[in-house]
Amino acid sequence: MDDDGAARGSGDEPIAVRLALSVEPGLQALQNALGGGAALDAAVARGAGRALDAGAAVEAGVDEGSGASGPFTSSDGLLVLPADPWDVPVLVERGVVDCGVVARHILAELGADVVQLADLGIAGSRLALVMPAAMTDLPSARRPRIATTHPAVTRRHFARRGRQVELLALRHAVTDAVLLGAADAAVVVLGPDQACTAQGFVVCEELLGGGARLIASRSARVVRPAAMQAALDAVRAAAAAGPAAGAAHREERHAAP
Amino acid sequence: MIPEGMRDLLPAEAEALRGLGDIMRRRCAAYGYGEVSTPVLEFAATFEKADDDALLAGYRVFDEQGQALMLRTDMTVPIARLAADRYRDRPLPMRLCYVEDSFRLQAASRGLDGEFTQAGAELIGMASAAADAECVMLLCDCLRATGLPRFRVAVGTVAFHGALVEALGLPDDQEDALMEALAERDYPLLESILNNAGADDDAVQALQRALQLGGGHEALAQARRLVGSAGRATVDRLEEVRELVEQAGFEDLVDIDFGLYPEFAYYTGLLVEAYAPGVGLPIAAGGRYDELLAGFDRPAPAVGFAISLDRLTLALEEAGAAPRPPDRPLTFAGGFAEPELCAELRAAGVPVMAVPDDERPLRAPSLRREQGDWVLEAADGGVTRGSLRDVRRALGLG
Repeated sequence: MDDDGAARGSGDEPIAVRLALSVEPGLQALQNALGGGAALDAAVARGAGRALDAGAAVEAGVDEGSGASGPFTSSDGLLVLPADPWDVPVLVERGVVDCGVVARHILAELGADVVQLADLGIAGSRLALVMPAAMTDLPSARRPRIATTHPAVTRRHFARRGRQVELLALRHAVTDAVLLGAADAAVVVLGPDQACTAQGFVVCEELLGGGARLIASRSARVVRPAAMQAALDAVRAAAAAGPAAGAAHREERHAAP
Repeated sequence: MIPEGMRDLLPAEAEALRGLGDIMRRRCAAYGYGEVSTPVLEFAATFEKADDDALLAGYRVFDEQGQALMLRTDMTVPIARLAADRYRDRPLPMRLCYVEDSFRLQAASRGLDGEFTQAGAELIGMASAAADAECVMLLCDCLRATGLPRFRVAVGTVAFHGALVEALGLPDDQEDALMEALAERDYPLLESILNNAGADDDAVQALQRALQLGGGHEALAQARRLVGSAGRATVDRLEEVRELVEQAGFEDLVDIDFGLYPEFAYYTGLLVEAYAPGVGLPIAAGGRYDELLAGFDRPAPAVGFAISLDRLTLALEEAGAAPRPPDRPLTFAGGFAEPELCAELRAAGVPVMAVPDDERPLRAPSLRREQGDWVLEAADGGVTRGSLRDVRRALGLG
């Protein structure tokens, strides 16, 4: 195949590859390296493909302070849509966007039917079982109670090891649940080198680790392989150049009047 | 309220779905496939022959004897049952097609409806590459006939995974992990499994290439290198299938793709999936299932596919090629008092919806009486005023 499958056989312009980029602190550098600057308004984003209310997608659960911006075109011509981390897998699976960048633990929790093309080796995180340092083991006389923001991954992890646990699925304050006595341990997301949480909880078990993943819809991989390969190369290069390019961008912005 | 995952179809949707179904029926008939219909309820034991968790995740009820029945979760298994049971004495090969609903317990929030309509075809009793090719070309033919402007059909094979494991010489425990990574389409995990197992870098890279690209010569070349002489027949057969399909007039639609992974455990050879821009999941899937009929005591090779008419509808909408909604009926104010005229118009092929004489406003096209005159307003807004004869003429009834 020497041509972009999607563009072939029709007279219209090739459509930009749409990338949903998870808005999380660890991926800010990637966003900068992709050449964020040429902002697109929602109408242009819509025109680039399927009806997509980019504004609404950005709004959902994204903290203003995180530096989230609206959709923009990367220097490689990717249409980048900063999106809530938990939205990225679904947007990709349903084909609203062609590909996405998102943390592995989110992908594992949602179990989206997508293709995981690459580990970008940035924004590494691990999902870990943590307990207060003073405690040593999970109770053995009864089923341990575990507070988690990732019930599916947690359930699978213990089931595979033949261990029964009681889950307390929470949105946020899982370690507080332990401090309040509602759970014996908590499953939290830690940085790759982070050994304990702010409350002094220490890691007793790692459930999952790895860097941010580049994912593609099953459809995009087949329908436009050439364009997807180009997108894969561009995102990989940006991830490799990430921190440096990010710094340069920030300086440029400061210098601008 | 209706149960989660179920759906109502309103007139426009029902019409669109029926229209697509009719296109499929015509294309399948053109290849000699006869349409069958099977019961919505089967014995759960029938689906247990397929030995696949996804197919067993169905709605179950019990009959008077306490036997477990199941709402069908798929059409391939019932057709295999029919071919081995009701049609036991009929010579092979046989060609059967269907347009039917199936039901699965799955997350409706993910675009996977609990109730879904599929159109499909099964060719039973032929093991050749020509049979594989007929399956793929009929799929291409069906999709093209719907007016879908852009779609791709990927063909792969279950045998590639076996050949790969053999060529890499992985230990047994790593084999399971590898299969799981392939099933999850988790290519970074696949890479780390291979690296840990001591596979050489070239092989790992070749596999990455073969999987990442949707197909094409590069992927094919890499796959050939990977599987070595043992798996060469596998790759050759796929090329043969693709060539046959292209000769039938479906050039540039089919790619060989080693990233395909069987959706159901009953697949034994060819795998086929179709994709369209803007719809993330496959609009059609199928493959060869040579062991399934043996479970019903009539061993026979078979190959088939199923198109998801729901996802195809989405794909057509995405491409701006959605079927035209049907013409609205003629709204006849006072039609209840004119049964003869209504009957005459309907017999002549004009759909007529009678409403009370004083109903206003009337939605065009409409027919009413005003001060002794008949007033016909066409769908495009054109008005004919005059005698009944003028109206008949305007309606093209002479």
